[in-house]
Amino acid sequence: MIDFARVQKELQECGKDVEGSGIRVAPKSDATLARLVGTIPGPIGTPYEGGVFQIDITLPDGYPFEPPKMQFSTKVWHPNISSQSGAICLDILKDQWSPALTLKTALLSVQALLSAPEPDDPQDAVVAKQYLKDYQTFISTARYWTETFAKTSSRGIEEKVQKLVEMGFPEAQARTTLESVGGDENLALEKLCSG
Amino acid sequence: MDAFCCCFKVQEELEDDINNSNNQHHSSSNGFTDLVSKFATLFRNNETQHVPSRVLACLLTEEAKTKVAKNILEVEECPVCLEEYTTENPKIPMKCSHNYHLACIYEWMERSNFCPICDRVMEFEESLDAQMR
Ligand SMILES: [Zn+2]
Ligand SMILES: [Zn+2]
Repeated sequence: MIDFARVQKELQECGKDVEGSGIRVAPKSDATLARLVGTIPGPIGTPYEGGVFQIDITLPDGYPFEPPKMQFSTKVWHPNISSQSGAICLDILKDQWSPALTLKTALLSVQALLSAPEPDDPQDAVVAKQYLKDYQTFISTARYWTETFAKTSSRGIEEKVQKLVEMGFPEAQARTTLESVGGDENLALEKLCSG
Repeated sequence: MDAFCCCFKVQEELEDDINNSNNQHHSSSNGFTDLVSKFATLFRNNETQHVPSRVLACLLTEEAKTKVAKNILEVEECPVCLEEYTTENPKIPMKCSHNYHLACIYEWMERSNFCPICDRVMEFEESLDAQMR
Protein backbone atom coordinates (compact mmCIF):
# COMPACT_ATOMS: atom_id res chain seq x y z
CA MET A 1 0.00 0.00 0.00
CA ILE A 2 1.52 3.34 -1.07
CA ASP A 3 1.83 5.87 1.76
CA PHE A 4 -0.20 8.58 0.02
CA ALA A 5 -0.06 10.90 3.02
CA ARG A 6 3.72 10.97 2.62
CA VAL A 7 3.47 11.51 -1.14
CA GLN A 8 1.11 14.42 -0.52
CA LYS A 9 3.61 15.92 1.95
CA GLU A 10 6.45 15.44 -0.49
CA LEU A 11 4.56 17.28 -3.23
CA GLN A 12 3.90 20.17 -0.87
CA GLU A 13 7.53 20.35 0.27
CA CYS A 14 8.85 20.15 -3.26
CA GLY A 15 6.40 22.82 -4.42
CA LYS A 16 7.74 25.23 -1.81
CA ASP A 17 11.24 25.16 -3.25
CA VAL A 18 10.65 25.15 -7.02
CA GLU A 19 12.45 28.49 -7.29
CA GLY A 20 15.50 27.17 -5.48
CA SER A 21 15.80 23.68 -6.90
CA GLY A 22 14.08 23.96 -10.28
CA ILE A 23 12.64 20.52 -9.52
CA ARG A 24 8.91 20.00 -10.00
CA VAL A 25 6.75 17.00 -9.23
CA ALA A 26 3.06 16.84 -10.11
CA PRO A 27 0.45 14.11 -10.41
CA LYS A 28 -0.15 12.94 -13.96
CA SER A 29 -3.90 13.10 -13.44
CA ASP A 30 -6.41 13.68 -10.70
CA ALA A 31 -7.15 9.97 -10.61
CA THR A 32 -4.14 8.81 -8.59
CA LEU A 33 -0.97 9.92 -6.84
CA ALA A 34 0.79 6.76 -7.98
CA ARG A 35 1.62 8.21 -11.40
CA LEU A 36 3.55 11.46 -11.39
CA VAL A 37 5.62 13.64 -13.66
CA GLY A 38 8.92 15.09 -12.49
CA THR A 39 10.68 17.97 -14.23
CA ILE A 40 14.38 18.79 -13.93
CA PRO A 41 16.35 21.59 -15.57
CA GLY A 42 19.50 20.52 -17.40
CA PRO A 43 22.55 21.36 -15.25
CA ILE A 44 24.48 24.51 -16.18
CA GLY A 45 27.81 23.89 -17.87
CA THR A 46 26.68 20.61 -19.42
CA PRO A 47 25.28 19.85 -22.89
CA TYR A 48 21.90 19.58 -21.19
CA GLU A 49 21.92 23.23 -20.11
CA GLY A 50 18.81 25.12 -21.13
CA GLY A 51 16.77 21.97 -21.54
CA VAL A 52 13.86 20.91 -19.36
CA PHE A 53 13.58 17.17 -18.90
CA GLN A 54 10.42 15.30 -17.99
CA ILE A 55 10.54 12.09 -16.04
CA ASP A 56 7.67 9.64 -15.70
CA ILE A 57 7.35 8.43 -12.14
CA THR A 58 5.43 5.35 -11.04
CA LEU A 59 5.21 4.56 -7.35
CA PRO A 60 5.25 0.86 -6.45
CA ASP A 61 2.87 -0.48 -3.82
CA GLY A 62 5.66 -0.53 -1.27
CA TYR A 63 6.63 3.15 -1.59
CA PRO A 64 8.51 4.60 0.33
CA PHE A 65 10.02 1.25 1.31
CA GLU A 66 10.61 0.47 -2.35
CA PRO A 67 12.15 2.90 -4.85
CA PRO A 68 10.01 4.95 -7.24
CA LYS A 69 10.24 3.85 -10.86
CA MET A 70 11.63 6.70 -12.93
CA GLN A 71 12.08 6.96 -16.67
CA PHE A 72 12.81 9.94 -18.92
CA SER A 73 9.92 10.79 -21.21
CA THR A 74 12.04 13.53 -22.79
CA LYS A 75 14.59 11.99 -25.13
CA VAL A 76 18.12 12.45 -23.82
CA TRP A 77 21.61 11.49 -25.02
CA HIS A 78 23.52 10.24 -21.97
CA PRO A 79 25.58 7.10 -21.22
CA ASN A 80 23.42 6.11 -18.23
CA ILE A 81 20.04 6.78 -19.83
CA SER A 82 18.57 4.69 -22.63
CA SER A 83 18.26 6.82 -25.77
CA GLN A 84 15.41 4.49 -26.81
CA SER A 85 13.29 4.00 -23.69
CA GLY A 86 14.49 6.66 -21.27
CA ALA A 87 15.37 3.99 -18.66
CA ILE A 88 17.79 5.31 -16.04
CA CYS A 89 20.75 3.43 -14.57
CA LEU A 90 21.16 4.89 -11.09
CA ASP A 91 21.90 2.91 -7.95
CA ILE A 92 19.56 4.81 -5.62
CA LEU A 93 16.65 3.91 -7.90
CA LYS A 94 17.61 0.27 -7.42
CA ASP A 95 19.35 -1.48 -4.53
CA GLN A 96 20.70 1.70 -2.94
CA TRP A 97 17.26 3.15 -2.31
CA SER A 98 16.48 4.25 1.24
CA PRO A 99 13.11 5.40 2.60
CA ALA A 100 14.87 8.53 3.86
CA LEU A 101 15.21 9.63 0.23
CA THR A 102 12.31 11.42 -1.43
CA LEU A 103 11.07 12.01 -4.97
CA LYS A 104 12.86 15.36 -4.84
CA THR A 105 16.21 14.01 -3.69
CA ALA A 106 15.89 11.19 -6.21
CA LEU A 107 15.27 13.74 -8.99
CA LEU A 108 18.22 15.82 -7.72
CA SER A 109 20.32 12.71 -8.02
CA VAL A 110 19.11 12.17 -11.56
CA GLN A 111 20.06 15.77 -12.27
CA ALA A 112 23.50 15.11 -10.77
CA LEU A 113 23.81 12.10 -13.03
CA LEU A 114 23.34 14.43 -16.02
CA SER A 115 26.35 16.42 -14.71
CA ALA A 116 28.48 13.38 -14.05
CA PRO A 117 27.99 10.50 -16.48
CA GLU A 118 29.41 7.14 -15.48
CA PRO A 119 30.30 5.52 -18.80
CA ASP A 120 31.76 2.47 -17.06
CA ASP A 121 28.32 1.47 -15.86
CA PRO A 122 26.27 2.31 -18.96
CA GLN A 123 22.59 1.96 -19.68
CA ASP A 124 23.09 2.84 -23.33
CA ALA A 125 26.16 1.09 -24.73
CA VAL A 126 26.22 3.14 -27.94
CA VAL A 127 26.24 6.44 -26.09
CA ALA A 128 28.79 5.21 -23.55
CA LYS A 129 31.13 4.07 -26.33
CA GLN A 130 30.86 7.44 -28.01
CA TYR A 131 31.47 9.22 -24.70
CA LEU A 132 34.70 7.28 -24.18
CA LYS A 133 35.98 7.20 -27.77
CA ASP A 134 34.83 10.49 -29.24
CA TYR A 135 33.99 12.92 -26.49
CA GLN A 136 33.53 15.97 -28.76
CA THR A 137 30.95 14.19 -30.88
CA PHE A 138 29.23 13.03 -27.72
CA ILE A 139 28.98 16.63 -26.51
CA SER A 140 27.54 17.90 -29.77
CA THR A 141 25.07 15.03 -30.05
CA ALA A 142 23.91 15.54 -26.47
CA ARG A 143 23.56 19.27 -27.12
CA TYR A 144 21.65 18.63 -30.33
CA TRP A 145 19.24 16.28 -28.54
CA THR A 146 18.72 18.89 -25.83
CA GLU A 147 17.94 21.54 -28.45
CA THR A 148 15.61 19.22 -30.35
CA PHE A 149 13.74 17.39 -27.60
CA ALA A 150 14.16 19.25 -24.31
CA LYS A 151 13.55 22.80 -25.46
CA THR A 152 10.64 23.10 -27.87
CA SER A 153 8.09 21.27 -25.79
CA SER A 154 9.05 23.08 -22.61
CA ARG A 155 9.08 26.46 -24.31
CA GLY A 156 5.66 25.56 -25.66
CA ILE A 157 4.43 24.69 -22.19
CA GLU A 158 5.73 27.96 -20.73
CA GLU A 159 3.87 29.94 -23.38
CA LYS A 160 0.68 28.02 -22.72
CA VAL A 161 1.04 28.50 -18.96
CA GLN A 162 1.52 32.21 -19.55
CA LYS A 163 -1.62 32.36 -21.70
CA LEU A 164 -3.71 30.69 -19.01
CA VAL A 165 -2.24 32.98 -16.34
CA GLU A 166 -3.27 35.96 -18.46
CA MET A 167 -6.79 34.52 -18.53
CA GLY A 168 -6.72 34.73 -14.75
CA PHE A 169 -5.84 31.21 -13.61
CA PRO A 170 -3.20 30.73 -10.90
CA GLU A 171 0.15 29.71 -12.38
CA ALA A 172 0.64 26.50 -10.40
CA GLN A 173 -2.86 25.31 -11.24
CA ALA A 174 -2.45 26.20 -14.91
CA ARG A 175 0.83 24.28 -15.03
CA THR A 176 -0.39 21.11 -13.31
CA THR A 177 -3.55 21.09 -15.39
CA LEU A 178 -1.57 21.47 -18.61
CA GLU A 179 0.78 18.71 -17.51
CA SER A 180 -2.16 16.47 -16.61
CA VAL A 181 -3.57 16.70 -20.15
CA GLY A 182 -0.22 16.34 -21.87
CA GLY A 183 0.07 20.01 -22.83
CA ASP A 184 -3.21 20.32 -24.76
CA GLU A 185 -4.30 23.88 -24.04
CA ASN A 186 -7.93 23.42 -25.05
CA LEU A 187 -8.36 20.42 -22.77
CA ALA A 188 -6.58 22.30 -20.00
CA LEU A 189 -8.88 25.29 -20.38
CA GLU A 190 -11.94 23.05 -20.32
CA LYS A 191 -10.69 21.38 -17.19
CA LEU A 192 -9.82 24.64 -15.45
CA CYS A 193 -13.24 26.07 -16.24
CA SER A 194 -15.12 22.99 -15.06
CA GLY A 195 -13.00 22.59 -11.92
CA MET B 1 31.19 38.70 5.36
CA ASP B 2 34.10 36.36 5.86
CA ALA B 3 31.81 33.41 5.67
CA PHE B 4 30.33 34.75 2.48
CA CYS B 5 33.73 35.23 0.85
CA CYS B 6 34.81 31.80 1.84
CA CYS B 7 31.62 30.33 0.50
CA PHE B 8 31.97 32.26 -2.72
CA LYS B 9 35.53 31.10 -3.23
CA VAL B 10 34.58 27.53 -2.61
CA GLN B 11 31.82 27.78 -5.14
CA GLU B 12 34.13 29.19 -7.78
CA GLU B 13 36.62 26.48 -7.14
CA LEU B 14 33.83 24.01 -7.36
CA GLU B 15 32.64 25.32 -10.71
CA ASP B 16 36.18 24.97 -12.01
CA ASP B 17 36.41 21.45 -10.73
CA ILE B 18 33.09 20.59 -12.30
CA ASN B 19 34.20 22.07 -15.60
CA ASN B 20 37.43 20.14 -15.42
CA SER B 21 35.66 16.95 -14.61
CA ASN B 22 33.40 17.54 -17.60
CA ASN B 23 36.30 18.15 -19.93
CA GLN B 24 38.60 15.43 -18.78
CA HIS B 25 36.11 12.75 -19.34
CA HIS B 26 38.46 9.90 -18.66
CA SER B 27 38.82 10.90 -15.06
CA SER B 28 35.41 12.50 -14.68
CA SER B 29 34.02 9.80 -12.48
CA ASN B 30 36.88 10.00 -10.01
CA GLY B 31 37.03 13.76 -10.24
CA PHE B 32 33.44 14.07 -9.33
CA THR B 33 33.69 11.68 -6.44
CA ASP B 34 36.66 13.63 -5.11
CA LEU B 35 34.67 16.80 -5.47
CA VAL B 36 31.80 15.37 -3.54
CA SER B 37 33.98 14.25 -0.65
CA LYS B 38 35.76 17.60 -0.66
CA PHE B 39 32.47 19.40 -0.36
CA ALA B 40 31.20 16.96 2.19
CA THR B 41 34.22 17.78 4.35
CA LEU B 42 33.62 21.51 4.05
CA PHE B 43 30.00 21.06 4.89
CA ARG B 44 30.75 18.81 7.83
CA ASN B 45 33.17 21.37 9.24
CA ASN B 46 30.56 24.11 8.84
CA GLU B 47 32.89 25.98 6.51
CA THR B 48 30.11 26.60 4.07
CA GLN B 49 26.36 26.87 4.34
CA HIS B 50 25.54 27.05 0.69
CA VAL B 51 25.49 23.73 -1.07
CA PRO B 52 24.72 23.97 -4.79
CA SER B 53 21.78 21.74 -5.56
CA ARG B 54 23.64 19.37 -7.83
CA VAL B 55 26.30 18.84 -5.22
CA LEU B 56 23.67 18.36 -2.59
CA ALA B 57 22.14 15.69 -4.76
CA CYS B 58 25.48 13.95 -4.93
CA LEU B 59 25.88 14.23 -1.23
CA LEU B 60 22.52 12.60 -0.92
CA THR B 61 23.40 9.95 -3.44
CA GLU B 62 26.95 9.26 -2.40
CA GLU B 63 26.57 10.02 1.24
CA ALA B 64 22.88 9.69 1.88
CA LYS B 65 23.80 7.38 4.63
CA THR B 66 26.32 9.50 6.48
CA LYS B 67 26.19 12.27 9.02
CA VAL B 68 26.29 14.91 6.30
CA ALA B 69 22.95 13.87 4.96
CA LYS B 70 21.74 13.53 8.51
CA ASN B 71 22.38 17.21 9.22
CA ILE B 72 20.32 18.18 6.22
CA LEU B 73 17.54 15.71 6.65
CA GLU B 74 17.13 15.45 10.37
CA VAL B 75 14.16 17.35 11.68
CA GLU B 76 11.77 16.32 14.35
CA GLU B 77 9.73 14.21 12.06
CA CYS B 78 10.14 10.58 11.20
CA PRO B 79 12.32 10.36 8.05
CA VAL B 80 10.25 7.46 6.75
CA CYS B 81 6.66 8.72 6.91
CA LEU B 82 7.49 12.44 7.35
CA GLU B 83 4.98 12.65 10.20
CA GLU B 84 5.80 14.12 13.59
CA TYR B 85 6.32 12.06 16.71
CA THR B 86 3.47 11.94 19.20
CA THR B 87 2.97 10.42 22.62
CA GLU B 88 0.96 7.59 21.10
CA ASN B 89 3.45 7.09 18.29
CA PRO B 90 6.75 8.21 19.86
CA LYS B 91 10.29 8.65 18.63
CA ILE B 92 12.26 5.41 18.86
CA PRO B 93 16.04 6.02 19.10
CA MET B 94 18.34 3.55 17.38
CA LYS B 95 21.92 2.86 18.45
CA CYS B 96 23.26 4.82 15.49
CA SER B 97 21.47 7.90 16.91
CA HIS B 98 18.75 8.09 14.27
CA ASN B 99 15.09 8.04 15.23
CA TYR B 100 11.99 6.56 13.67
CA HIS B 101 8.46 5.53 14.49
CA LEU B 102 8.41 1.93 15.61
CA ALA B 103 6.04 0.77 12.87
CA CYS B 104 8.01 2.65 10.20
CA ILE B 105 11.36 1.16 11.13
CA TYR B 106 9.88 -2.32 11.56
CA GLU B 107 8.55 -2.17 8.04
CA TRP B 108 11.99 -1.15 6.70
CA MET B 109 13.67 -3.89 8.77
CA GLU B 110 11.63 -6.44 6.84
CA ARG B 111 13.64 -5.37 3.80
CA SER B 112 17.00 -4.25 5.16
CA ASN B 113 19.21 -4.44 8.23
CA PHE B 114 20.70 -1.02 7.63
CA CYS B 115 19.68 2.41 8.83
CA PRO B 116 17.96 4.43 6.06
CA ILE B 117 20.13 7.45 6.85
CA CYS B 118 23.58 6.26 7.92
CA ASP B 119 23.59 2.72 6.52
CA ARG B 120 24.87 1.26 9.77
CA VAL B 121 23.44 -1.99 11.09
CA MET B 122 20.26 -1.15 12.95
CA GLU B 123 19.90 -1.98 16.61
CA PHE B 124 17.47 -0.61 19.12
CA GLU B 125 18.90 1.54 21.88
CA GLU B 126 19.05 -0.80 24.88
CA SER B 127 18.68 1.99 27.41
CA LEU B 128 15.45 3.01 25.74
CA ASP B 129 13.36 2.28 28.81
CA ALA B 130 15.75 4.05 31.12
CA GLN B 131 15.83 7.11 28.90
CA MET B 132 12.12 7.42 28.72
CA ARG B 133 11.66 7.36 32.46
ZN1 LIG C 1 7.21 7.27 10.72
ZN1 LIG D 1 21.46 5.72 11.47
